[in-house]
Amino acid sequence: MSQTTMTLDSERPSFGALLRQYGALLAFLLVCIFFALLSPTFTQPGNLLNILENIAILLVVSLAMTTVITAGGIDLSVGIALDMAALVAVSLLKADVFWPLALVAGLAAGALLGFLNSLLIVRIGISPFLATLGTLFIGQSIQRIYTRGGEPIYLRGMAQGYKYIGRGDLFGFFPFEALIAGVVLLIFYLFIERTIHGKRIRAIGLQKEASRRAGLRVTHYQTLAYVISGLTAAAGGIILSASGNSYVPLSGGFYLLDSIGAVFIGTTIDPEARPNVMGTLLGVLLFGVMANGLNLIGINFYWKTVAKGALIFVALILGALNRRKRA
Amino acid sequence: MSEQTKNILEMQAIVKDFPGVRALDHASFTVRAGEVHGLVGENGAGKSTLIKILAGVYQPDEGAITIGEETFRSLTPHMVEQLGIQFIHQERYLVPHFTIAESIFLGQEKCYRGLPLIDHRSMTRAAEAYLAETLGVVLKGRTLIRDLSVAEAQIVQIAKALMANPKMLVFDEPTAPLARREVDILFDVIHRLKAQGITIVYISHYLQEIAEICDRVTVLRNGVDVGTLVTRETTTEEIVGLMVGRTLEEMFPPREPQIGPAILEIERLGDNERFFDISFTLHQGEVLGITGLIGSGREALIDTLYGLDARETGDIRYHGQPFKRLNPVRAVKSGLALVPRDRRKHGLIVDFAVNDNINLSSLNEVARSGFLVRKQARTRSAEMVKSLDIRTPSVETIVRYLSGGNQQKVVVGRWLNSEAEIYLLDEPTVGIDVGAKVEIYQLVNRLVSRGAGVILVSTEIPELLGMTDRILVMYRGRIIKEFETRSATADSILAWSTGGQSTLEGK
Amino acid sequence: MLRKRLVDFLLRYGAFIALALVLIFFSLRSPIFLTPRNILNILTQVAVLAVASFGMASVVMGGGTDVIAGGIDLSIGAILALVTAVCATLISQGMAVPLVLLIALVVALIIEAFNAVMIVYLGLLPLLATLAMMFTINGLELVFTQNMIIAVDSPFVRAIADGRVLGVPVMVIILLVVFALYHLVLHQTKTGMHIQAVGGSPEAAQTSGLAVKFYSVLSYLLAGVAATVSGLLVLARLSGSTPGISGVILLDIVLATYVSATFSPRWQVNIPGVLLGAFLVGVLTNGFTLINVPTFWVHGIKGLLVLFVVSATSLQQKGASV
Repeated sequence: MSQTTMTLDSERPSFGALLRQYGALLAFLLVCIFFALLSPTFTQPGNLLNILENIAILLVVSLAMTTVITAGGIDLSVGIALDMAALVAVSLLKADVFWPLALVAGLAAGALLGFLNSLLIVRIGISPFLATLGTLFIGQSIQRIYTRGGEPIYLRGMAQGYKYIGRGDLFGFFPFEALIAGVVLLIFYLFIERTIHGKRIRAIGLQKEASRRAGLRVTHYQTLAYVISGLTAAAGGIILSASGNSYVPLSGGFYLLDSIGAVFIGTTIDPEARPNVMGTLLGVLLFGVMANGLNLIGINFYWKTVAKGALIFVALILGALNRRKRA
Repeated sequence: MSEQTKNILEMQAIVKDFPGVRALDHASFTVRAGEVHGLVGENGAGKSTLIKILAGVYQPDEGAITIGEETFRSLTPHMVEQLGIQFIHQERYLVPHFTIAESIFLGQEKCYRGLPLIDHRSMTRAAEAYLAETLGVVLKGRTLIRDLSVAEAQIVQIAKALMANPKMLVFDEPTAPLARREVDILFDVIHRLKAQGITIVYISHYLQEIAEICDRVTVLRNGVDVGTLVTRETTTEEIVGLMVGRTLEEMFPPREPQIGPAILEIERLGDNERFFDISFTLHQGEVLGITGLIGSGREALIDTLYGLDARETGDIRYHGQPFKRLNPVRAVKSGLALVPRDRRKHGLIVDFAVNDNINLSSLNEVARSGFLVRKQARTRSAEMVKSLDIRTPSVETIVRYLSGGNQQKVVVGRWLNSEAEIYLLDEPTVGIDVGAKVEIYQLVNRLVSRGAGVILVSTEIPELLGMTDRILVMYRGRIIKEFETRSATADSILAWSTGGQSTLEGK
Repeated sequence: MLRKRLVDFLLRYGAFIALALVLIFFSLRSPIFLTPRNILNILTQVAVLAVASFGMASVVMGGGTDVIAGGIDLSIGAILALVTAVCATLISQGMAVPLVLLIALVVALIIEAFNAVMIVYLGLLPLLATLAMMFTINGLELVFTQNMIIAVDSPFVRAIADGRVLGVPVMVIILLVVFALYHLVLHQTKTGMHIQAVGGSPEAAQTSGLAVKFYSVLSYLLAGVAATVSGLLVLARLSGSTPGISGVILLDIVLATYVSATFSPRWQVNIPGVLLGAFLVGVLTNGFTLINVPTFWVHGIKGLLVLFVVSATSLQQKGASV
């Protein structure tokens, strides 16, 4: 009995497979064309920059989520990291602390939260969903206690440098927020897709036990993933507080579900349905374009949420069909 | 042969093909009513496929199945159940948080008269009575499945199967997770069942047990049945001979061991739970076999050697240097390599490419300031693929799509890539068909000829006899016997595996 | 040996002890805490949460407790909000109440059926499928109500909100009736046993001849029924519908559902445990209010609760055999 070679599927993808894989990209293009046709303002550079600015924070948070999901977990407390960073930074700024220090402190707060999560998940062994759910509850409570019920903290006369982060325009037109998001995107792309550390994190996320036996430092990388997540979400919080001149408690919650959605839309791009940086970008862009476009053509604002849900459904179904073909 | 012994099952000339592989090649299998009939064969011989066809999970490409008086071209699980055949699988298909009573009566729960509400109390009593009467086992009906021992859970599984009043029970490797004492209980149950007129098909690769419990045994090799023997009238050597098909010299590649100095010294190693006081030495260029039934501690030993579990006592010395606290990271750094028994779960990242898997443990070698140098990585893996003759369309192929044998080569390739010196091979040829097995054996020889030391854990007697220089037999957590392979026989290995008494001499 | 028995005892009764301690604590700090009137008050306050959690529990029981791949219904909060909005709108337009309830039930069941089909027949992960559904339904609800409050003034609704039978608020009666129903169905009937089997081990269920897909779908439909009743209760409490309920309540539902396992000797999500869990949440909120501690502390306590429950579960699972 001889052994023959394998496969077939991985060599020449069928049209159906191509459709599935590039479905999200295709959808994106279709959506853009759709809105471009329906609204003349859509394709104006000002509007496009608007979109970029609007998705900046979501992109940053989604990249945080991508890392954690790649590592095999999930982080329901990304919104809290975002809020904590804003809380710390704004409170320090209010106390007239030198703004770069406030910024760093904010980021550190997020990283610390990530580290706490990692202790619960990696050291004690609580499942990521429940551990970060607990952190979420506690974080929300801390914010409420701190602000005595949920009042935002406003900053009058914010330090110029800090304000620039949220409201500045490079060369007079390019939103600084978008630039930061772009830089973060680049960093994550390089880290996850191009370094050996990203490779290891991915392996651990796929099969922890196999990675362990391969000699990878599993706990080290898992901890790293959560700390990175907290740190990155914190960056989102810095941007948010800078652009709003304030710390608004519990604003992070808005980004949680959207980021999960974006990451999973992104998995459809990958032939193995794994979370990936570029896919997440696509997911975020889809959401952003949707929201913007619907606005422009005057459709009821609330359809935005329905559209988001529909998008995620489509992504999931594509993914399911993808898996079936493979099985 | 009496006129009255009818055949309860006849599988005739079954052919089953999978992409690239013919799993069954006109295999036949006949079982007489009321007997206990064993089915043996090496990994990849087709036992599992044959039984899956009987269970209706696969459909044969050719051949027919006669059950009782009716003949079928193919079966479905539902049909098979209606025809009175029940299967006791290796996996425990039980709900962990159900009670014994709930598990046994699942699907046919006892209710109060007139109401659709479950009468838990009477169900519990009924379950306990049922266990006592049909199996002679006493268990409390309220006990949760997850609180049972593996053997007790198996009893519950059997009880559940019996609820359907089957004419035939098929046991698939039932003793794999059992301790010796529990095996005795299982055999008692099987004798009882036989006395009640139920036919038993018993699949196992523990030839010792086949000899003890079966009336007849059918041997499969290369997808075909090569003989049906009366166990009383045969010997282990004969069975092994049929399983392997050639003399051992023909099956296994020639070896010329050149044994060097000691590289790994184990002294009084133990975890005080599953294995105790283990001492042995591994030399360069040597293949050391370790065998034993499950419960012998060999699995725990390997896991501890690799640092997956902590040890309580003893020393591990590598090139004379002691290992203080061991974990897989340190083990790998020091040159150990593990090829785990569950290849797809623990051996490979199945969704990664060949390339990524081969480089996984040595990523530092293909990186520059943390960045992966793709070209270098690809070159290294291409070399390995060539060197090991791994059949794959490209190094970027996802490993999931490779056959078992080639997957295993990828695992070995990963370790060769990181220049490991000590290989722990845990049942390396499970689930690999015969052709690929030979290649794995050749690989092992290459490893040792380059100076590596290999520990081969296996329960396949032919493999142990053909590939090792020495064999350590473990029993109940200790090394009970050490053989020079030259002077070992299948019979003696088996005998020592079960504690030292040979049972093939008369029944 | 003694230590093991102590640990076992704590794990088995720890949740009850914690509940008892909390009750004692508050009754010491506030004389009116443990009065029947206040207890009924608490039950009224958690009725919505408890009923919705019965629905979530059905899904978890039918789908297994693995949080990524197991049964969960993130859309239940959104569905109950939609039910509230639909009922409020239709009743305030004068439609007959029984018809309105029927329509609401049908809407909820259709949504859950969609969830079930996605999950059972297409193989989508429950976490993701119901997440997408949550977005969609949230959005639809907002579209429907334009993010505005819809007030309702109907004798039926008022009866539920304020009515009492033998001194017991109608809402509590509804809660207890629903509790009895779900408890019976899920824990005392063959159907319930089969749902649990499918959740505990689909393979075991399959080999026992159970229609696995049917029971999975059924568990989602049960959630739909619970969502409908819960939505009705919200309508009564608020005398109308308010946007934004679904987000807040979802976390509480998840909490009450998973906490229920700590009240069960089998460490499985179960209906009585859900009632106790919801009760515990209510006790905390009510108790803190009575002793004048701001309620945002409750949130933190809830978080600690989740962590406690989950640590205990993780530890227990690590110690378990097989």
